[in-house]
Amino acid sequence: MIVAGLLASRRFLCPLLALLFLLPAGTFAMSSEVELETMVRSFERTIPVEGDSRVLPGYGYLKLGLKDITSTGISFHGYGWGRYDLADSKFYDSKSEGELVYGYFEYRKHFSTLRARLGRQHVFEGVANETIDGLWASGHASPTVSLSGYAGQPVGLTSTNGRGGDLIFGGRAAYHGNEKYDVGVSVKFSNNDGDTADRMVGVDLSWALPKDMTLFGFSKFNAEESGFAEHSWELRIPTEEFSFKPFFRYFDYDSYFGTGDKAALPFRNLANSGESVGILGLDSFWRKSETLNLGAKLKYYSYDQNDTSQFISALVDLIGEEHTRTGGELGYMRGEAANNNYLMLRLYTYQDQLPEKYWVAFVSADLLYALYDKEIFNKDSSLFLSIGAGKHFLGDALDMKLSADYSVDPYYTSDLKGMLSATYYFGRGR
Amino acid sequence: MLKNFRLLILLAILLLLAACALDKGGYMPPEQHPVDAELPPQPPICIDCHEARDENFNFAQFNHTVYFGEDHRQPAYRQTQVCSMCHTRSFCNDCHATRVELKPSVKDPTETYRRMPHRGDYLSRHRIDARVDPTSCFRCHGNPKTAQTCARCHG
Repeated sequence: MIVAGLLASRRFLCPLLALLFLLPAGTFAMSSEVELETMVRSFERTIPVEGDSRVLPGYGYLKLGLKDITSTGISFHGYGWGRYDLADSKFYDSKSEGELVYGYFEYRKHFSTLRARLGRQHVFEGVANETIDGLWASGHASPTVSLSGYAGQPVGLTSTNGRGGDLIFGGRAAYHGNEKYDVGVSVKFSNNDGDTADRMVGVDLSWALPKDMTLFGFSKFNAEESGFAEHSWELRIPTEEFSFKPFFRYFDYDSYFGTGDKAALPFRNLANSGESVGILGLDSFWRKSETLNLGAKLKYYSYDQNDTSQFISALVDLIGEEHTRTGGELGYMRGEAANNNYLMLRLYTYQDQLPEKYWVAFVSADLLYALYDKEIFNKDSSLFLSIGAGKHFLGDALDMKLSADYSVDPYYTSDLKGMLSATYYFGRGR
Repeated sequence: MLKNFRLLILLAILLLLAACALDKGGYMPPEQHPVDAELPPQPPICIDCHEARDENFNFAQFNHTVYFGEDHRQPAYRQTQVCSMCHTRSFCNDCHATRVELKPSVKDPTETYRRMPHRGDYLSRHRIDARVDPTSCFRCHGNPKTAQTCARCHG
């Protein structure tokens, strides 16, 4: 059933599977990475007309990496998911669903800075934080100047009237000055259905200061709205035991959310609000020993029109062998701007490398409790509990995990969810 | 449509030509972290083995402290190739993607040692967080496809 659902989730899985099975076996043996994760979740929802209904979504995630397909440095990377509701409930708009997260060919010239990618990919540099179907390329024009650029169709805009008239292109140029600083300028232009979506220009700075400190800066200008959308500046101060990060962020809502035809609800209304927010903050981290970390966060929000808000939190993190961790975090949001405050407590543990007599390789637990000053749907608190366990099989080629979540919160009187997942790593283990 | 397509082809050709012309050296980190320097299973503190920075690289900015999961934007914006030395793209794209139906803490609920966004009953907390700082939502839910999660209630 799950396989049928995945196949029904059209678009991405068939080409990927075809590629996977059509390639010569020798290619896999040389340099390939294939990972298949399947999971089944179970929960109950009250659905209009149908009433209480069991929902049983089965998910499949397939990751495929083929390195050095040819001797010239071409590789392929693909990742996608599909979902099929095994219980045939009416919870989802569509019984089966899926998405190609990425699927691209990459060219890396050996001993060179030259790189290019063709296909669906996420571009994350400068003002770009977009998934595109298209081409991205980068290289160094000189030892101190690097350039990158991209062009294609923005995947995020396909849900509005299809792809006709959708276009995105942009790039980043950076100057790397005598090991001390990097200055970058980036641009992004996108159209949705032929109309303007984004016209963004950004500058970024990384400046190595004495005492190993680094100043990071990023500012984004909305050319369509003719105003700065964002300023994000932070100073990182690392020492052997401590690290501090004082930061300042400023967002002008009209320019930040004013992205033309790209703007989506609920943010569209904010683009005409005339509001702005400035955030002053401090993140601090104390590595008291190799097994004990402490951290704290402070944030102060001030607005052009609204009241101020503050957030403070502290955490303790105990580190053991492998992934073993136990810790807790306590936070308080004084959300005057939101007319509500909350206190949040999180306790968690992950016990790894358990002795064989316990049969499972690890156990995990998570507790999250939130207390609200003002009731939300007549409830003033949320309680979330999660427990899990897992074991490795076939010489670590197969991971099996079982988990259960329980929640009592403003939205659900009593919500119990379960999940079983299996991940198979081709080529690993025996 | 045809006009846009021609423009795309033209831009793609220009990009390729520019990329081929741009091959004039400069520092590139290795494709993978050297295997003989085995990384610990815990998130690494780079300056345990490296100086805070050398002539090529600022190692300290990639220290994976407990806050690194929510704090990696500035270094990653500039050098995503450093992330890919240890992480496959899918690791990043479980969060940085145009559409994922399962939020990371639901997809991997047993990985409690990772600070994942929206853990637990975030539906209730988001009413407050989103009014305090809606820009934090927009960064990931800011286009029509990623905002489908919001559209169920917000129209």
